[in-house]
Amino acid sequence: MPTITYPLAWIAVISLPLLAAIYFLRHRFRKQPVSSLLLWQMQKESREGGRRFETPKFPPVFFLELLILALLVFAALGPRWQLPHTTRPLIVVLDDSLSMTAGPTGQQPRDEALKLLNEILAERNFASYQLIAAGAGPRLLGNTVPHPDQLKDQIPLWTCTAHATDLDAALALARNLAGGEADVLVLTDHAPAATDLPPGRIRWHAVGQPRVNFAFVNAARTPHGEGDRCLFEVANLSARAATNTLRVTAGQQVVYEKRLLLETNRTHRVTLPVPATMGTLRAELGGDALAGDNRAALVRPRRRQVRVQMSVTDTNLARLITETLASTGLRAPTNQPPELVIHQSDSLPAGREAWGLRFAPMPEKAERFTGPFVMDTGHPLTRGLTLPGIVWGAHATATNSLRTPGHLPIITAGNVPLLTTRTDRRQREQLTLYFAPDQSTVQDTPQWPALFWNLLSWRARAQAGLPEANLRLGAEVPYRPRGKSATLTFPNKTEKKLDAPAGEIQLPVAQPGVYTVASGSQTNRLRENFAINFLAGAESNLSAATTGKWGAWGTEEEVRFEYASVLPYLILLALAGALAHLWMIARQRGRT
Amino acid sequence: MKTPFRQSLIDGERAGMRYALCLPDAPMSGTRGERLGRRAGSSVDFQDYREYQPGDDLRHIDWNAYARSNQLIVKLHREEVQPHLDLILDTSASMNLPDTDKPAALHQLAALLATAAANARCSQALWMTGEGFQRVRNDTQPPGAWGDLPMGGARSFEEAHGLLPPRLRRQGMRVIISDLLWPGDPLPTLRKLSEGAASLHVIQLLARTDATPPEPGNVQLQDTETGELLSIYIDATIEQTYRDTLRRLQQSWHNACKQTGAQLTTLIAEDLGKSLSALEEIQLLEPA
Repeated sequence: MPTITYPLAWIAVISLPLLAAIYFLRHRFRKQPVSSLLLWQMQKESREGGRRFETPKFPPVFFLELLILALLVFAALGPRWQLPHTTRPLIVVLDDSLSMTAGPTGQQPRDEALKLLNEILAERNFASYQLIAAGAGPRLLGNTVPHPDQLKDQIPLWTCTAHATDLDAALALARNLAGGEADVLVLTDHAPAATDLPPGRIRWHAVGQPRVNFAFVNAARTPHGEGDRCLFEVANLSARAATNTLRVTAGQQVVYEKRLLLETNRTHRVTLPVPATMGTLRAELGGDALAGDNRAALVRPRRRQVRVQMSVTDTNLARLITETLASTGLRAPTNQPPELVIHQSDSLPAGREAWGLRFAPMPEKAERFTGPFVMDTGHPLTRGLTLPGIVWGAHATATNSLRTPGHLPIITAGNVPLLTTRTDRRQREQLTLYFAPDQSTVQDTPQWPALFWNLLSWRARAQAGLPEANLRLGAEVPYRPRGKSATLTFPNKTEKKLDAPAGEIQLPVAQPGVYTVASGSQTNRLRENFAINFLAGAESNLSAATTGKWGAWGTEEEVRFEYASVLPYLILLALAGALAHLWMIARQRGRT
Repeated sequence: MKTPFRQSLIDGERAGMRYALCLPDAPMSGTRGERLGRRAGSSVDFQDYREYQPGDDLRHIDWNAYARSNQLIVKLHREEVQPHLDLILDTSASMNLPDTDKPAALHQLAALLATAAANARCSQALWMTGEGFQRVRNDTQPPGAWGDLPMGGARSFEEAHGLLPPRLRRQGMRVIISDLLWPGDPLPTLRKLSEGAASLHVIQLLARTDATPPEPGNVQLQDTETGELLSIYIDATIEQTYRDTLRRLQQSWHNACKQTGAQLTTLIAEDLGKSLSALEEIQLLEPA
């Protein structure tokens, strides 16, 4: 297919029907009475085989004129043919996010993008073809193929279910694949973030439309006392105010239902206290442009508790710790087999799964530290901790303990360690706390129970099973199976067996819905449900969806070199046609 | 009669004043007149002798012969008759072709021949086609006094002749004016028309559009007599075919005329004034 330089010249096509109309009017059957059809008998006899629809017949010169006009119109369009030796590879970056399915079937951005892709493939040739799906990360949809027809097998893999799209990463991959020599086509539903596209031969086509869309942007279910507390947050991610209906059900029971009227980019939060025994809650919004973000499910969260064994000889300290553990609500009523041993001895605690928290012995006159306190803020134990204005009594010579291999400081007062950890050979964490209650004020602040809550929570997360029961799509889902394998049941009830030789695995979840994961022997089976919800406000926001084109595959000068104009040939053909026209006219005049 | 055709009659009468009908050498029949008839009569021209028969005029007995042979011999003389012209006009629809001079030329030619006949002291009768052949009212009068010549009859010349042929005077001159555009063999019709005629002239009067095919292009032809339509694209081949067909038709009439002793000429209505010499060539007219 040629490339058209001046599309406006299509207007000249009107001259073709005009010429036909002129000839039709001039050559339509003019009525002429004759004395008798006797002299036309031969013509009559030839038609006795059957009556037929009479259409005006045009002289050959008409068709010649039509051909000349068509050639001139085609020449005015400035057609250019791509030279075979200038073809480049084509890499198509396809937005794989859910927003590409917004709108009714057949009018979704994915449909428009496919239509556009087919047009471009029909328009010019490329050396090879490669498809990249741009979800949260880039994904090759198949091998590089030499012919566009071979892309048909790869297109169905473009599912548009991702919770996010990272087009920059996909473009970087495209550049790496072809070393910058490829023509890159981006098909998405939004404009590029910056007016200047990344370097390279990139054509960015947006085929989206701003539409009305409500979406769940947050959903959580947490234990709260004897029951659970559920949170649903709904946002109007449209360019205008709109209404929708939120309905929350548990089985057949309607827990909550409300008609929402929200301004653009406003949210509505619903907090529902529910009994802990209540099963999966399903929240649903009414129909809108994007169906994939209109549902959320919250399964019952697992109430994790840690079996703690107290082996502290100091009575006051033991009472302090016992009260602190009780305040976290994460201590199990039993302590056997222990999962955490709090002790003051130098030896490691017994128990295959027993972590240890050792209170290091303090001198009679402990040092009082008021700062500066340094924390490993990335460690689970320091989550939410702040230590300004407190006094921490510790052993000034404990610095020596850092010289022992494997000990990592978590909280220090300058170079004096206050809390360290070490992972032993059985992968158990052994913590050492340098703490002199008599010289400290930290136990009188909220930081103290927070520290123990972090400790029990960290230990609980290390238990077999899932750390959380309700997650966002796109988040990692770590799982510690009982044993070396696990069975994952997808929302469509299909099952997949997963090997876990190293202990923790990441569950492969790519679709929202309620999953079930099970592991362990028949007698000690651990079976848990967990929900994956599409909670991606940025992806659900259709107010910025647009249609447009940015960038080009090379400059005009490059195009001139890569394409050959056929204008001279068309003009020559038209001239030849004009000469033939003259000859035919002269011949007709000679005859008359 | 419509004014244009009345004017045509006047024009024809005026043109006919310069001509006289060229009478044939063969003896003619007719009412008593000034021309020698084919039968015995009372002219001064001797014709024959025969025996007297009861009832013969005693004044015609040749008494000298009786003296020589003692037999009553009657001397016969040629009769003197007035020659007669039967003008047979085709007034069918095809002769009333719209947008042509064909009907006007028919009137003009009829008036011209009638006037030329009067100049040759011929009596005349005008026959026109219709539901059979009928006399034109006041046809013995000068053309200006003729009754209407209704044009556009649905019957063709041949059909009208089949229905009711004209009662033609024997041994009279007969002139047919028609476009001769009807199917079938012309010989039977010509034989009937030439039977007992002193002479028969056939004038084919065509419009120019009859003689030449239409301009090239898409044309829907309509037969003025039958109303039948024919849509065709006329190109050089069709043009040539038309001309060939017309030539073959004229050739068939020429052959038929030759067999019946008739004279055929073709006139173009639009060129009538310049074509009268053709009528002199076939010895139908002569200067008065």
